[in-house]
Amino acid sequence: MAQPDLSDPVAAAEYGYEQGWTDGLPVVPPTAARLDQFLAAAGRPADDVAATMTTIGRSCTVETAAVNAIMAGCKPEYFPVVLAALEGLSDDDRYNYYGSSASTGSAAHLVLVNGPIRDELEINYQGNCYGPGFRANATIGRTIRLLNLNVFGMTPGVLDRSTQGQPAKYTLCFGEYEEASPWEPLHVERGFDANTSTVTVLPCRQPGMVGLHDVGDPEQVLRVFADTLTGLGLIGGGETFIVFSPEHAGIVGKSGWSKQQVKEFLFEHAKRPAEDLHAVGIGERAAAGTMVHRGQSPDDFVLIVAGGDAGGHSSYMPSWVGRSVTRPIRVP
Amino acid sequence: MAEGEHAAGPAASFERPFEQAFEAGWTDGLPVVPPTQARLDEFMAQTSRAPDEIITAMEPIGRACTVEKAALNSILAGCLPQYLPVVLAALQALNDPSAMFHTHVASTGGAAQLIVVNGPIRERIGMNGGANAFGPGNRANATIGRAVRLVIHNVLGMKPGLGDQSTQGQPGKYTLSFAENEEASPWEPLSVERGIAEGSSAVTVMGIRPMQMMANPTARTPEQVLRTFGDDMMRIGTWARGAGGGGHSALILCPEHTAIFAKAGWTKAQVKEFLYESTARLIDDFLDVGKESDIERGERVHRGRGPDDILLVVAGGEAGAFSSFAPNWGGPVTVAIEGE
Repeated sequence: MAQPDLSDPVAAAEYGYEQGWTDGLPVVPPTAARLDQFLAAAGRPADDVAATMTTIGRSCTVETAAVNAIMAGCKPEYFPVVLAALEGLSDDDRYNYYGSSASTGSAAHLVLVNGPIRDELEINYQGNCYGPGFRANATIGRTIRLLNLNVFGMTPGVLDRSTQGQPAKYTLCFGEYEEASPWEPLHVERGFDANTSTVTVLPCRQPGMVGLHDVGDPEQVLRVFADTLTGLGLIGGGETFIVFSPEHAGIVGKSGWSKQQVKEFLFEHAKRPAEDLHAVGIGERAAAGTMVHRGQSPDDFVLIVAGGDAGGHSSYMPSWVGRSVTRPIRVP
Repeated sequence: MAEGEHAAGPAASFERPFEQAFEAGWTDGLPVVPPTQARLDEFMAQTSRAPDEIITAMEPIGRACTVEKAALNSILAGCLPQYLPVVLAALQALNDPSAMFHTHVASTGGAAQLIVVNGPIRERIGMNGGANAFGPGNRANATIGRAVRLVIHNVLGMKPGLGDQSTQGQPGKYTLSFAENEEASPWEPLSVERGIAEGSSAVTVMGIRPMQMMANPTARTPEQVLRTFGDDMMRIGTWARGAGGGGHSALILCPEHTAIFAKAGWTKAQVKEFLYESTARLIDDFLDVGKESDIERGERVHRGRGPDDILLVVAGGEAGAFSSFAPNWGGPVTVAIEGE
């Protein structure tokens, strides 16, 4: 094939498509000069292993990760966040990178950022934190997907067996709105210093919304969350990230309850009689007369705050075939 | 950009137009294709509409989008020229008052635009209605939905924190367009059900709250599948009586669940009726957590006003028993695609 005239931006973008480097959206064709900037931002050797998908025996070097971060549209200073996320995905004891990427359940890889780096990189944790408009959010999450497609061979319909997929598979990265939380932020809960920046990754089913505008009592608000998590198409299984909007966090915070107390309340109330499941042909392992919960224990509820100050809209993000992992972000 | 600015050679500079587009604020946070006049000409050749024709408007803020601006944003999004008629049809659908375009875009609820494509154009432009239909990997799916979002940002000025007051938003706001998997459906396509001639292509657009996935891998009967869906649709944090368009719902059925209905010989109307009945829930459950209602204790409430408020679409891969529920925030509106 003839070398295209890459000084024409349309030709440059089409070149990326022709090479099959994309998720369907335009990529920035990488240059050697740009790659040097990314490697400098990483402070790690180019041939260091950045991520591993053990099940299929594939891995990705820091250099390959950088090339895909460039294509995704990242700035060099975002790259340490990407590398910390890849460390988390590669934690075989918890995450199940291959299984969650390949499963018909259509998981996305959620990337949550805590600590001072949120503001340094302008990672949005306020209004529209899951949606478009913010380069760091958009491109950090997208880098994970490009690696899945370009390095790990997770082509839809081939190794990626997603039945329907979900839009979060393009990108889902946001910060915790630590300042609006009545509790310690997630990374502090998980043993990191408040001034350390971290990434938490979760293999994530489609996030659902909890809409609630006319209730002001903390226990009643939590009962609505519990009810919303016990639909028969969702109940059972692993972790659930509860992402409280600032408005809902403020109401729940009035209870004066600790995070642990809130988790225990949610676990206690997010349950259904086994007979409800049996009636729709599921839950055969649960004996009649017992209750089936969302999650296995209170610790399966992970509490986070994010979103704009206005609006009674929170979310739940259920895990899929793996568990969340938190890793520190290392900026050289 | 001035001629000769790339004198150092393309390798040194071809990323610059992409950075300049970021700096100009033309993007949703992801790279865009900076448009050229030659590219715009290719796009405009795909439509018989005049460049200055208004294709959609947001009356409450006095802003409108012309065909040419829609084409420019389709280029930015990464569309191929032949996708333009689909983008234009989607924008035209959003201009229908029942789509409540400005309301759903501005709302704290963080709505996305669900765009379903029917008819022969699906094949012609290679849209995906099979495995991973909502996810990345297909250019037409990815860029058609994105073009609509870029029009909302760049032409209508509804950016987050400005006109767009989304509390949390949703990833579907980047893009959410896919084809109906008509081949896996025992029923008439969505477009035909909604009045478009068989063999013609059309888009159906809805403003939606985040979709949720509904799993039932072991159900064997239509009743079991639909009771699962009805139960999920009536969770307290999900249910919104009378919100946007009277509580329409889009059910996107995976082929495996669809096959259960086909095997049992159920019509679309039967599925809708049984599903509507399956959404019945005692109002007491809502009142008990402090929700306000003028409905008496002991009465049951449903999702929507009746079975016709439910849209059934088939999409997804052959493997896996995962369907999705998209709660409505405007629409649905179906529009034929020009030239199809």
